[in-house]
Amino acid sequence: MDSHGRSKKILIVDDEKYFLLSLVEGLSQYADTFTTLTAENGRAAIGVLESTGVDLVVTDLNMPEMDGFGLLAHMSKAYPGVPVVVMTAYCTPEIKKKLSEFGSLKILEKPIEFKELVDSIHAELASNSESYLRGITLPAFLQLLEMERKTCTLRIRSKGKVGFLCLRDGQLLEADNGNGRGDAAALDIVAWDETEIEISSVCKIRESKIQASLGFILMEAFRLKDERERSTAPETASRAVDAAPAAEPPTTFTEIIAEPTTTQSKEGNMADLKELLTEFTKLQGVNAVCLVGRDGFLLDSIAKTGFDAEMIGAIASSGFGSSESMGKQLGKGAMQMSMIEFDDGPVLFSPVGADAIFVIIADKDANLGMVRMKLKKHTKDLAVAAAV
Amino acid sequence: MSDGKILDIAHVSFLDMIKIMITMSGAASAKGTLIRNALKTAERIHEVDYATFDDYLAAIENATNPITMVEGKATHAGGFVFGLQLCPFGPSIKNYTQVFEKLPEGFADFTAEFNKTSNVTDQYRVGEGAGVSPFCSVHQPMRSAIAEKITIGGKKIVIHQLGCKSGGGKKGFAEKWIAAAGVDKAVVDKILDNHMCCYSLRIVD
Repeated sequence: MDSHGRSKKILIVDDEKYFLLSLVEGLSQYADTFTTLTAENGRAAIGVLESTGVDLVVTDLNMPEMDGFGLLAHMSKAYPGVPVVVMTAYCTPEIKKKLSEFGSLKILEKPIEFKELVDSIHAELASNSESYLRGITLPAFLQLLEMERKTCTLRIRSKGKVGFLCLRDGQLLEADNGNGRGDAAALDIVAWDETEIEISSVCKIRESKIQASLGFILMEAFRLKDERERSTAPETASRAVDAAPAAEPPTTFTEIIAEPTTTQSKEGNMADLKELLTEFTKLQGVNAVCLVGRDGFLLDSIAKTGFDAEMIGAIASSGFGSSESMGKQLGKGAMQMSMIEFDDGPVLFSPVGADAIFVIIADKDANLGMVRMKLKKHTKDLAVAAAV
Repeated sequence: MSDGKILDIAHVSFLDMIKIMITMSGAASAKGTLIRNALKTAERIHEVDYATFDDYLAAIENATNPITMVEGKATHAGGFVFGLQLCPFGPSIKNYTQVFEKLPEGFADFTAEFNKTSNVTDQYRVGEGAGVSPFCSVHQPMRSAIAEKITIGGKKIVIHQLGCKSGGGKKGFAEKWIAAAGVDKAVVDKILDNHMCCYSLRIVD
């Protein structure tokens, strides 16, 4: 309830109809706290936002007609105070950390855990009622674009200024703040306040004119902004870029944009490995997963039903090796994935690093798209965990 | 063809089968298959307990020691270090090379794969430079796995593979296991002057 005793409204935006229905059903038990509205894409969501006041938007990013980015961009102009929770399959703890540093954007990882969703809704509604500044910020939006490897051009407006940012596959290629281009313009735009974002899914720029990484630009822009606010003699953005080579960001930023650590203990790795494997078995239709050395000796496995994991590992090594040899003979390059389809579902093999293979044993109804996404996301982590 | 060049087809087939395994499924998979095969063989060996280390040595001399049964008589080089004068795969290699001169292609890749650190070679304390041919991936893990079936005075024993010598005389040393066993590398080197294989035994308290 809000301060006037009205029930709060949350809007869930996702193109998966059954997912929406199951959420609405699950959330109905909280009807005394909030009402749940739904929309199947960004455009429908804008219709709901225009027709009724909404206190929180929970949105997927990849949707037909108008995706989550289009919706977030629209909200940055029309509903800047409405908090947003983004659902995505691509998020890592590092990205979550970065996003939390650049704004209040909350990320939920797909597949969604219902309790986490409920907790997030309650937390966001509570913080909103305490008058925190909420909604999508430009740095958080840029992080999302990078995470989802989006190609687009952004038109940014702020207090009478207009700028453009061009991204291809999530990489910032060019910026124009009306006074100049390149790194300095990007640093300037990223630090603008009260931004309104327009997004076009076209990027005409082919070659990068920006030397620094997006992560570095975001951090540096905030540092410069802080300095400007504290100092009477502000340093110019262009000087800062000259002083900090793109390839070697200052140490203070290295910690923030660094890759996940690979120096964990073996015990730590194995504990992480169990968690990683468990994530896969939570996916629809996945019965068992095995991490196997290239020599076929089992490193670890999790199975919902009993099977001889040692034997599967040995056979997988042989099957994987055969597929790889086939690729070599045909000059097809490195092997990405091998899938064998049986009457009762597929078995997938995928290389993880130089020394291991990941085997996924699934049912006929398995969501292979989700399996592939999960695999893409965790291949590096699996390789680290598999390292001897 | 003279009598001296009559092929033992079992030997030739085995060596060529390894080559085919490497071609068909890669060196790593072939290595795994041979090691698994060796471990399965070791599983079939009966457990045995020797009252003392001297009894263990006597069992080598009278060829009743399970390790001796698969690799031949080892020489006790003092302490707990042993040398093996003949490689158990020596006859196969000799038989093959006397006709075809060179060992099959892919054997070098296989040997490099065996010497790479891996969970299974760590578990059995083999490889790590002590492999000089694909046959080492059969012999060394098999010996270590058979050792798990042997106790001395009721105590388990473990074996560290210290080094090995190829038919061409090239020595390979497992620095990792030499250090773990606490044996001087010079001792291993000297043993390999007159032996093809060198390992140490440790009685686990």
